[in-house]
Amino acid sequence: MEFQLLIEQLLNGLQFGTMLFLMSAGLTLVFGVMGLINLAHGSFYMIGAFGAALLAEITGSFFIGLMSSFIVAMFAGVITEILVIRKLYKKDHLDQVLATFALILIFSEGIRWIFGAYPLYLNIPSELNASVSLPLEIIYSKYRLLIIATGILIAFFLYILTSKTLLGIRIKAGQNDREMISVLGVNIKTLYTIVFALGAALAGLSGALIGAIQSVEVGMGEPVLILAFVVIIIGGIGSIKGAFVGALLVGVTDTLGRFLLPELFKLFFDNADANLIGSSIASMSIYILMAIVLIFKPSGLFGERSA
Amino acid sequence: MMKKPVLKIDKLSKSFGAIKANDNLNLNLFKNEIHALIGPNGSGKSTLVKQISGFLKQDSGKIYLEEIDISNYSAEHRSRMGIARSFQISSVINSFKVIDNLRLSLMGRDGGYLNPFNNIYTNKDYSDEAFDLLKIVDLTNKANDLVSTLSHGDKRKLEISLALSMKPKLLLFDEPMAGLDKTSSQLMIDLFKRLKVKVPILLIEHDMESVFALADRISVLDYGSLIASGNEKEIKSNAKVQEVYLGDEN
Amino acid sequence: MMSEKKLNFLILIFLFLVPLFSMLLNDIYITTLFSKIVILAIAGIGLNLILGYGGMVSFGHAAFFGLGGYVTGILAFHFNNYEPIQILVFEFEGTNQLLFIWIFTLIFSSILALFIGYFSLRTTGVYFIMITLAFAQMLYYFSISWPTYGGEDGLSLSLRNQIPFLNTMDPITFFYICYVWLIIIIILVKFILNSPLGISLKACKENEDRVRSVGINPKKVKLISFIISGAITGLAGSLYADLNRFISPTILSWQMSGEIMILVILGGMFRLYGPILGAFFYIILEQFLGGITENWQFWLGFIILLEVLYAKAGLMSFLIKDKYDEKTSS
Ligand SMILES: Nc1ncnc2c1ncn2[C@@H]1O[C@H](COP(=O)(O)OP(=O)(O)OP(=O)(O)O)[C@@H](O)[C@H]1O
Ligand SMILES: [Mg+2]
Repeated sequence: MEFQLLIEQLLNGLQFGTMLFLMSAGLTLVFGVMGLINLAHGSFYMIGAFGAALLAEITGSFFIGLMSSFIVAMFAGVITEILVIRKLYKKDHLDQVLATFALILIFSEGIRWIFGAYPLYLNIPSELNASVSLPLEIIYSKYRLLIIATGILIAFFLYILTSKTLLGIRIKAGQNDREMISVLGVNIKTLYTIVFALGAALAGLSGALIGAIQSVEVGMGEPVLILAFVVIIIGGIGSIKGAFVGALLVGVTDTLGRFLLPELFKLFFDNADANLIGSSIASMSIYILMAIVLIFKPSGLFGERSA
Repeated sequence: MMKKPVLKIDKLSKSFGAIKANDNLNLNLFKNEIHALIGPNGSGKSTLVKQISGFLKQDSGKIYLEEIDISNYSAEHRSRMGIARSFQISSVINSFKVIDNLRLSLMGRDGGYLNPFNNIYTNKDYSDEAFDLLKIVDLTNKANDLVSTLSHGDKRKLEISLALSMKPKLLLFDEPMAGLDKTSSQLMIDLFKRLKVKVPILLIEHDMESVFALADRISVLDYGSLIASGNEKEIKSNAKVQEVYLGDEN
Repeated sequence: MMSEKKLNFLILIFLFLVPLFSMLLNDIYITTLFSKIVILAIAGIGLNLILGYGGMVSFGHAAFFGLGGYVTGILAFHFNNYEPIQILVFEFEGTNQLLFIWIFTLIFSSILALFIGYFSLRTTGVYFIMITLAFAQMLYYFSISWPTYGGEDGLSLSLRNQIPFLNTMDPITFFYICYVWLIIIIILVKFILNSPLGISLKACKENEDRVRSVGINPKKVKLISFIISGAITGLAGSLYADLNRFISPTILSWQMSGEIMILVILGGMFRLYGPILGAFFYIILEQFLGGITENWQFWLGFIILLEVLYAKAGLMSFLIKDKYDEKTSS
């Protein structure tokens, strides 16, 4: 049934998108508030996944693993912020890129040192490792639905946090005017640490969630990191709303592209060629999407100031 | 006798959101004159200069240079056509030597700036011309200094010499004397008097003494609109001007 | 402490002599290592033209490096299996002649740089960093998913490509080919830095308004410089493919872009010879740390971090006494 397949792919795209959102939220906040490009954000994704795998192994509970991914990554975030990241806020983008690139090397090799070169596995508990029937005869993985639900829940939480709470108001103040926030008498250092750690924690959680579907290994964070950058660039740097829209757009474009483009090219080429060309273009589709967005809106869909 | 203006501004308007920075402005600049543009802070003087020089695009209206409609030309094109400006906040290349700033502008004026081969630093013609230009603003002794080491006044002077280096048809000076000491200001005033016979000047200036010493004609902006235009006497006696501008000085 | 000129000269002499001596001692390993240093130095000089002198932080120079590699590999691949390259209705023969290959590399990487630069230069700041990265990623994923030239596994070349009268398979000959290219590129970039284009580029980095008000179009200046930069880095990629007789998507990866960037910074951004010194130390560090510990990247990370946080000016500045006026007039 083509239709069911399409819906299934759409859900996959949604799942991919919500996961990207968890990754992007921190990245975009950190850039928006502190003006920092953080390439090492993918490392927290990896650290979260390793933390989850380790604690799930020790305790035997997948859920404790998930919880601890959040906490471990948050902890790593706090330490990194205090030791290194703080020194980078006043530096230019180039320095930030290099320093956080160096952090990737340190984190990746550090993890390899501790855990060895082989991937770890984080097993989804059997009650989640099943399918559910949805309306319209659609059958879909329970676990992936959980990821979608988690993503949307956190998006909602972040929306409330940034628009309705004191912390959010302070973050906004910082985004609009970095001087302003010191006038407000907020302890900037602490605020920055909190924002950074929150971002790291969300990245860690998404690492654990995805680590359970794929595998937990060194270097898992970087491909996702680059996608997260694509997301926040498309959405407009600094905007949570932009990150959410961007993430879903990227998730759906990528997933549907891989599914639909080969079909599309079958109209013009024979099957083998169509698959080849279709999947090659699909592999680039989100970058093409990003380039198009930037060409028409050089500061992203919801970006206000140019950075 | 109908004189043709060097610069003609025709119903120019520019808004930033709700702020009408320039509202339907008409203004001319003739040969042999210094036309002073005055007005309170935020009245839209710099906005006008930015539009004439092409750094800002007008919302509506036209700008003519010697009867050529330049309203849609890029800033660099207008510079090459002979519209030279100085910036309200001095804008020079701080990491260059003084003389290299002039080499840059001479080369920009003559075109060929995409040429990747000819050595610009050993070009004798440019060096000579640069020294001549520095002489005009009394800066030859600092030719080989890094601009970042110059005083504020010297940067202003350099900026004026950069404008002159473009073989300009008209000069737009945005508060060139702001922050200068008495001697430097006087040097500028003397210089502008000498210059105007060759190149007409549109001068933005807050210091009334200098304005009255220099200007052949004065136009007054308030909230983006032109409220008066005329010679010193006419401006001084204009009721509107007294109200919004000179009024609060007395 | 010495003058920059003297240090530059020493660097060139050193690079010239060490492989020669090591060859006399029959040590191919060192010669190959130095070829790699010289090639990465060329790539770095290419990037430094826009990064150091033009302030354009391209995080996608692997696109040009990789394209150079792939142009070289693909031409040789078709030469070896006698199948012409088909593009739409046109057919081209492959070749193993380096002179042609280099010309093709320069042409294709210039075209790619024109394309990427045209779109990327509409943005600034982080957006520029990220869009250059995105373009490189496009090529990276394309190279992985396109199976004709090995996809993810890459493509091996049985022999190095040829130059008449020279044996390119001989390590020392190949080294000196790379060395000659380095000299050519140094001379070229030195010319550029003293030229109208170069002075405009340096001015654009600091103040585009000033540049426009003297009649110069900064977009054009930056685009032309970007193209030259891409072409130089592409050439380095071509040499790299021949050095290893192997190409794979790795040379298009963002880590590759990062590596080129790091060696530029390590050596010193505002100096013509900075990337050479940077490439030397980067490769030596890699070899040295790699020899003592498996986790050498961990320590490399530390070194880069310390460099960025505490010694921004790069290695060149440690070694020479700085005359301020040298920075601006070439
Ligand atoms: N880029 C901009 N965005 C939004 N508002 C602007 C912008 N540039 C100028 N304005 C507004 O337009 C108005 C006119 O500004 P302009 O700089 O032209 O004034 P001015 O007469 O030069 O003042 P001053 O004497 O202080 O230099 C002001 O209210 C200013 O706040
Ligand atoms: Mg002003």
